[in-house]
Amino acid sequence: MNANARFDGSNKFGDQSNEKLLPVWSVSGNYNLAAHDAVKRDWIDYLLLKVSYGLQGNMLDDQSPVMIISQQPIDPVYNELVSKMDTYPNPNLKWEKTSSFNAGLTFSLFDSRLQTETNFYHKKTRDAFLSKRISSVNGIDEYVVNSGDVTNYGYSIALTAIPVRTKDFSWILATNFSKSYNRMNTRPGEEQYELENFLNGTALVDGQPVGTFYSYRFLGLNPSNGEPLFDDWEDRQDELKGLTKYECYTRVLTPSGLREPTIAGMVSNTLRYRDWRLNVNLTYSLGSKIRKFKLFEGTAFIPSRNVPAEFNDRWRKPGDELTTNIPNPDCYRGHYSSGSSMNNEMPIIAYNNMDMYNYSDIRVVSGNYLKCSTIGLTYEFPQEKIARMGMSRLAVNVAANNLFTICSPELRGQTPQQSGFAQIELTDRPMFTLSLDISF
Amino acid sequence: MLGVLLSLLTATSCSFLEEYSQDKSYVRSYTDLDELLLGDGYMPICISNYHIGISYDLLEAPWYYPYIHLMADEVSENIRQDASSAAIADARELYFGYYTWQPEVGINVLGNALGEEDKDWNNIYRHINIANMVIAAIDDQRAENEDDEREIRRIRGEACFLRAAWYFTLVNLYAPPYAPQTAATTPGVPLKTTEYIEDKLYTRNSVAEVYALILDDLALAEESLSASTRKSVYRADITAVELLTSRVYLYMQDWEKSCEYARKVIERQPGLQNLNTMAAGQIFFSQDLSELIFTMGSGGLRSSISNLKMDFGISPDLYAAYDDPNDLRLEYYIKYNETDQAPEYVKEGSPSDLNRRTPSANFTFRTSEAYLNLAEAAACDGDDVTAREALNELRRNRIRSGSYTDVTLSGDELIEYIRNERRRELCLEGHRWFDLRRYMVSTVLPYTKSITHSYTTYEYVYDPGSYSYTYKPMQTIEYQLEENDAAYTLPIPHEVLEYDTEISNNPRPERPVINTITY
Repeated sequence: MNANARFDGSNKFGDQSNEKLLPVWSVSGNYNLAAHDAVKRDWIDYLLLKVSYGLQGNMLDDQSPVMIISQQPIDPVYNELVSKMDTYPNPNLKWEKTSSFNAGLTFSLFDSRLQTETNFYHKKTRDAFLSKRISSVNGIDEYVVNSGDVTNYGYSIALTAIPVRTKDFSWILATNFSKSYNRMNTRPGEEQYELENFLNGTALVDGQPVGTFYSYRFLGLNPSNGEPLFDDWEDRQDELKGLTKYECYTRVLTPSGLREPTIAGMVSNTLRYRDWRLNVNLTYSLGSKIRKFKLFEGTAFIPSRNVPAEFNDRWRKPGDELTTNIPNPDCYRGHYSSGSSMNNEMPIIAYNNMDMYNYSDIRVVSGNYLKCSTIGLTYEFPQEKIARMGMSRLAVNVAANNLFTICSPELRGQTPQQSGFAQIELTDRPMFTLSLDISF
Repeated sequence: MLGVLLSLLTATSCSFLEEYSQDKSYVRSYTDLDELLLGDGYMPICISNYHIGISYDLLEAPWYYPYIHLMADEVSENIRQDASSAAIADARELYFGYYTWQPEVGINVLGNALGEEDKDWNNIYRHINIANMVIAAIDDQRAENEDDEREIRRIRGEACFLRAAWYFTLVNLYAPPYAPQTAATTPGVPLKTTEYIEDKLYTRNSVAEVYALILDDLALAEESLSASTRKSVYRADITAVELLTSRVYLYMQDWEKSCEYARKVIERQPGLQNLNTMAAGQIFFSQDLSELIFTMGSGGLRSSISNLKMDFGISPDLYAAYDDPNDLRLEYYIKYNETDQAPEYVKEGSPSDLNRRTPSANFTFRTSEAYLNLAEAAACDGDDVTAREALNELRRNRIRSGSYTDVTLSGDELIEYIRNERRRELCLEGHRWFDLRRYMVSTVLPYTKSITHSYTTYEYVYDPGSYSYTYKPMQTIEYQLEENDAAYTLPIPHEVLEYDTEISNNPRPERPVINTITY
């Protein structure tokens, strides 16, 4: 049993002095259930329960209740000292307070042949910091507020089993998976979500799980010029006029799925036969949807730049629309909702059809995968043979990393771990290594 | 016990939490606010080794609303067929949407991409908020003696002047001109005078409300600066406040008040630079100009108004405005270049002389304007005698001595002459676009102008004549700004409309190509 408490002080917060100090405390306990006679069995090595609860506060380094200026050297033209605004005053900011509860169960059975570690956590953050967009009339367009409550909870399970263990042969199987959930109750409410929040899955929508992202509804290519067509309500735009962004986007856009997997984890196998050892590690992820990388970068199609190979299958002549979904690259068209004649009557749905194509439902594919991250074979030379050569260890290892990934074929080379939300990186390439371990 | 511990902690927390930084500081005295105002309240000057002109905007030089010079009738592009070299950076391309009055000013030449439009809007609102914070904090500063008190008043005065100057600029860029009859119902720009962040959706205050705030601030600035002397031309003093007040009243068509304040300026700083007595090699528009009152922001427009191809030059229309051959401004402002066979902007010195710093091309106050304000306001008010007196005083300093004769016009002809004189005298100092806007709504002798601008595409080809590669014009397209065109007002930046959904846009018509010339 262990408990501790302290006060944290910060002068980063408002001028009300009672906000400057915050008590921080935690309590934790460990309990070996196996020590109890009632639970005690021969096949139980240990059975440990751990519980903790604590409260802590956070603050941000770059925030201050009063303005901070940054002093500059003498200006060569004015011949006077000058200063610049460094930090806008933010007098209403308070501590972000986090209370966390952790519980864990660790046990080992059958002479360590089955070991498990299970952890559960529940973390609640009150007055969570949120960088909020504000009107540029304020001179800056973003500032930090205490927005509301965030709840994180989740669990992780790690399991190690040794199904076979003899003198010559053993098989160790280990797996783990974890899952976290979060829920936000933000005070700024739904109005704060911009178009981009819907497209990248950071908007919270009633009745949809957290992390649901939205896409434009792709209808097909225009048979006459190969430009992409979308169900963007242009023919019934009057119905959208006067709606809030939230109402408008949830109507026009279609939910595409979750950006995070519902379950993901790893399985590792170690097989040993006499002096040979084989390692096989697999990782898997299920339940997410990902966006393919953007087809159009910018709005102008510049032939001298690198373009995605997908353009090989582009629309070239009428009739191609039956066999391809890749538009004619010379198809730029501004969107009706962003035109100057619209005069703010409705939220801007899109700026142009190239953006819409990049963020359309046809660019969304399943993110499920099973990946073989490592296969390795090791041979350990027997001690008695190498001892004569003055060595203490000699081992040869052949390993292959990223050997294969089973994933949606529509990804066409894009790694399923990365989605179109992030920057493009190279796909994982297989890597083979041969190594020799010698110790004297 | 716990109570004792707690009180101990609280008691010591003040010194315990003391922090120290080399360059970051809280505001501890009025000098900090003074430095902040100079560093972040005034329009910054491009600090580089030489002035690089508006076409180098891509290099992040802090040029403020450079398109003000490009939208009016002062410049036109140089279309040159010869093998001379082209401008290194193409301002025509950079400011295409402004220069050709497109519905969306951020649109590119190909019409397929919309660039940044909110740079000036954001910069100006940032300066306004700095002024707001200084105004709010200055009264809390401790004064130990009379000098301190005077300094505190001076800083408040400068901050009020700046807030007025910035709102005046904003409302003239992003709202229709002030028309006395309709100003109360015409959307202006959002007003913010609080020093703290307001998380709300702003709406546009009326043009009349914006001007009312400007006048309030100027009145407070006038009062606060009355006891201070000019620290440098980079800081607004009482003369600058009076000249801006005179200009604001002129824009509001309050002729009497405009005259009153113009007279105050002339009383304080009556001297004009006489072009008849310029020293050999003297450049008119320099930091040493005797009639200079105040300047903020970058100068160096000359390097973007050169005679190079793919660049802007003096428009034939502006050159023709200097119709008196004895006008010495043809020597010191706009001079005919015999080699290039074209007029050249020499008020700041030769276009190729990049190294000299000059007063701001956007925000320079000098005594000539006071005479012009007085002349115009008096003429519009029917006081032709005062108007002619002020006008001729300026002309005596601009026309060759032996050939000078007084202007004897009256009525509408006099007003017209004064407006043209204003154009000749204040060319490329950021006045013309705003002046054209206000003439449009003038109750006395309204005037509006249609302007044509062209855009030429070039191809890079081998020129057998000069044995080298050169740019040859391929095609010229022409656009026209109509009389009383709605595009005399900029659209609200698209980035602003996107977030501030309560702010309405300024309607601007589609801008069709009216003429195409193929070479």
